[in-house]
Amino acid sequence: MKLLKSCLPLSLCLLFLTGCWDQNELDELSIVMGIGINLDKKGDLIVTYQVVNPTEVAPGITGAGGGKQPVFTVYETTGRNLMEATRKASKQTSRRLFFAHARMLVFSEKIAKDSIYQAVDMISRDPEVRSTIQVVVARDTTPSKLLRTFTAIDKVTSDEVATILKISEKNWGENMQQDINEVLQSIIDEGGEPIINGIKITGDKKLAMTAQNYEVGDPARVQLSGMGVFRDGKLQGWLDGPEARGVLWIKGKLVSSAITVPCMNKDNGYSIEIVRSNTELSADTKRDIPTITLDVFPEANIAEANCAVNLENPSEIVNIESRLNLVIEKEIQETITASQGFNSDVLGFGELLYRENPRKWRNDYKENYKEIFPELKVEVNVDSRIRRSGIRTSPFLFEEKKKKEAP
Amino acid sequence: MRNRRKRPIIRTHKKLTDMLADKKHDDPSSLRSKTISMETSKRKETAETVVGELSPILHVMVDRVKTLLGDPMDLIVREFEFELEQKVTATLLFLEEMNDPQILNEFILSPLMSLSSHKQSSPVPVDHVLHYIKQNALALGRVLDVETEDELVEALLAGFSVLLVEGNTKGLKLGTTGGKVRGIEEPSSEVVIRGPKDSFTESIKTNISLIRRRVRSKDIRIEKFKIGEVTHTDVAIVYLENIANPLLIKEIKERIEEVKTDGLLESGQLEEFIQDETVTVFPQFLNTERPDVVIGNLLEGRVGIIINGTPFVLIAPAQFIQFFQSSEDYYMRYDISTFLRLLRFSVFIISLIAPSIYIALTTFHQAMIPTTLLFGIAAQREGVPFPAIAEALVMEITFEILREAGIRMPRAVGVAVSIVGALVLGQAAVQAGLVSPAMVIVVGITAVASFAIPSFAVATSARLLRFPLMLVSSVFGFYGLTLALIVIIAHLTSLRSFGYPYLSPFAPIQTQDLKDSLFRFPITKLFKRPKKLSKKNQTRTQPYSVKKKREEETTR
Repeated sequence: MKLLKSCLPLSLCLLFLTGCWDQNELDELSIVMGIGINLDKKGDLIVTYQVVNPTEVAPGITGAGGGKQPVFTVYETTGRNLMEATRKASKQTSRRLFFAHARMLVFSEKIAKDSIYQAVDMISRDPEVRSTIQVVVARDTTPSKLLRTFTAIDKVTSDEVATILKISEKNWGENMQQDINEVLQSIIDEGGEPIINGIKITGDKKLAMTAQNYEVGDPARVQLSGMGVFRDGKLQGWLDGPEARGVLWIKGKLVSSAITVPCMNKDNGYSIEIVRSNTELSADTKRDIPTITLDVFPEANIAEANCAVNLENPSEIVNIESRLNLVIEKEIQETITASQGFNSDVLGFGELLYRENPRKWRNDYKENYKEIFPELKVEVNVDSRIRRSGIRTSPFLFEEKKKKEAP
Repeated sequence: MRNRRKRPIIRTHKKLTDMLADKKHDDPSSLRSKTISMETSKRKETAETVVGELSPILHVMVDRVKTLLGDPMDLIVREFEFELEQKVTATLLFLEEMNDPQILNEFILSPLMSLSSHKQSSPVPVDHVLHYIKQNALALGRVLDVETEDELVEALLAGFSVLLVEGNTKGLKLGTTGGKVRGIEEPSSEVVIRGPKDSFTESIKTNISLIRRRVRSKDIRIEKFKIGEVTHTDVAIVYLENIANPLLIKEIKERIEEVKTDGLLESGQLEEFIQDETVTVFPQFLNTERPDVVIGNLLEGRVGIIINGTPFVLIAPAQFIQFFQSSEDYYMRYDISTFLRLLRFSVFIISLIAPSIYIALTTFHQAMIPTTLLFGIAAQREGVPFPAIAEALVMEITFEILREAGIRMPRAVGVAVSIVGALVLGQAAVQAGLVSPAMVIVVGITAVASFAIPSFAVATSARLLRFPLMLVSSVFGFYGLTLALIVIIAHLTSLRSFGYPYLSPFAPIQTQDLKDSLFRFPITKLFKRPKKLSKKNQTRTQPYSVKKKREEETTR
């Protein structure tokens, strides 16, 4: 009791005298949604911050000032490293920059070609920045332009890009979400290299950076564009279209996509919807040049059949399956050839070899993996299964054909 | 308080058993004989101190009573005569509004006045008149002798009427107690949808009858005490002798007997006198105005304390979890009861920490708020001049003011308060930019949550603790809030109610008792009484399920 009585005033002092060093009221924070990093001519970093104006974004809240304000503002600073530039930003902002909700980290192609290593450390070290921040490379544009682009649906560009990535990975599969954690992981992996999504601006690029972009029916948009292949932190080139999808096939990350398969003599006869897929990798490390075997097991539905085939006939389904296998196999082979061409193991084969035979990896492969990787033999087996054909069986073209042939 | 000296409190179970063992060596009836001897000693004391025995001369006696009571206007002195061999003069004294006039007229005055000598087989001597009329004339259940002035006055004040007969040094006190009492109504503070609808009243007699009517057991014990040097308030403890722990009964009796005070008006006062720990915000007694709640607790080995003049009966010892249980839990199906108990407990947590969580989130842990919600809250905070803690304190205190005003206001003005509260303080404060709409929601949910807790007593603890928690989380965020909650839990575990751990059955863990804690198992599974409470008689009447019976029948 006595102890309590004497402790009470002391603890009250603790409450009021400590000064709340890490306390921030919400209206003292600038919520950063996107960070852009570029290089200037001197080799300093140009850092761009996209900061939201919450009154314009929040639902049902009309701006306190009454007038229309932009949804976000952009600050830009330069510094010899990221921290320097970040702290310099306080010369321009009335509030502390708050990074916990940042959703996108954009590198310019220039810094990507120079080296991304100079910028990823602080992002991954800072406790405030989340490790789920999506990393992209601005393709044919600069981060500062990209972060100034007004997007129509999700009003904040960074938000829009992160959401596009998520949706596109699930539905189309030519890009995959790569957050800062995954990027770092692929750098650390044995022989591994990062692969980072590209993003570009389409449409009227001048309009893109004005608020009028909201008002036109056909505004400038941000769009995913291929995936950038890196080697030693430097951008080597781009994988586009099916080549990019091959990466997801190999990594087993493909969730769903649409694949066009020829039918009779029509190149675009079938459209096959992949619903799930599983990839198994194994490596044979007996020889000097290892062999890698890829077994892909996609499950699919027929989404479109634009030719007169009898889908009620099981052999026809088997026929489609084998053609689908060929298409997928070709995609995967192209991806492998391309990445071998860049001599960049973005596919994680090095890590696979290491796991398969760590001793051999350390003794034989690791040192001259740069020479081995382009020579790797990859055997691709695709075994697809078609499960359903939507809510009808044979296409109406087949029904029509039957009618004509009938006497 | 000042009369309460520190006494050793039964702290641990081990100690309890030790004491139980000690008791065996003692005289087994020591408990009862002790109380009896205490009473007799008290009586002796009063006899010595009081001046007079009763005077045999009537008018002297009447004058004496009048001076003692200050000649009150409601003292009725009815003189009358009746015949027993010779004329006998008698006086009936009573306080007007405390007696039932019908009983007085029909069962006392009228039989006495129609007494006549010719009925007697033998003459009655004057000093036997009292005995004679007691045996033959008074058609009443409660007729007791009064021998001293003090007893006489006490009897009058307790609502008895007193019959004095000329030439006798004794009087008779007659149980003619009456007068207006409130009838049995529906409980006002513990409403249930399904369950008995009667509640205790201010009269201890009614309350005891409500309990007795429901428990027709020979083992029920009701023991009376008088507390209050001025008020002489009747206090009774009720328990089931075959279930309750005798040491608990002894402890409760001792504590009640030690209470010295001028007057006892409500059970809350007694609660403060006899509770284990004063420096706490948590209630250590359950109070209820429902007879079924009392009986349910008696069946678990607890003790009820009834105080004359209040419908709130205390139940001891109380465990923390009981404040989240309602008698209805046992009348509804076990699944919904379990759901409701979990709901009530979460509601307690909400009413305790909702504002603190809001403060901690918006001032320290903005990263934990979903991005879109963060925009919303940030937009609302835009232009609010005060920090979140000030905002929260202002709103919480405003709510407390409204609540207090709502209770004190005459019912007719109540509407005005709610209009002012809802419009002026809710909407207008937001529009004026004094508080953010999110804060209003937080205060709103906190307020509603605090009303959903079945026990008002524990709702007030949450109400009080809310403020320090808000302060702590405004300074240290979730870190501070967590520390504060740890302190609260540590405090709860240290609390005892009559020696029984407050957090039982969670700490110390009692696996059997957990069946009826946050959960309510089907009634057929609840065949054990709370372990520590009912040492003597652990197992309830074994449930013999209908299903089992049927199965047996079919196999036959």
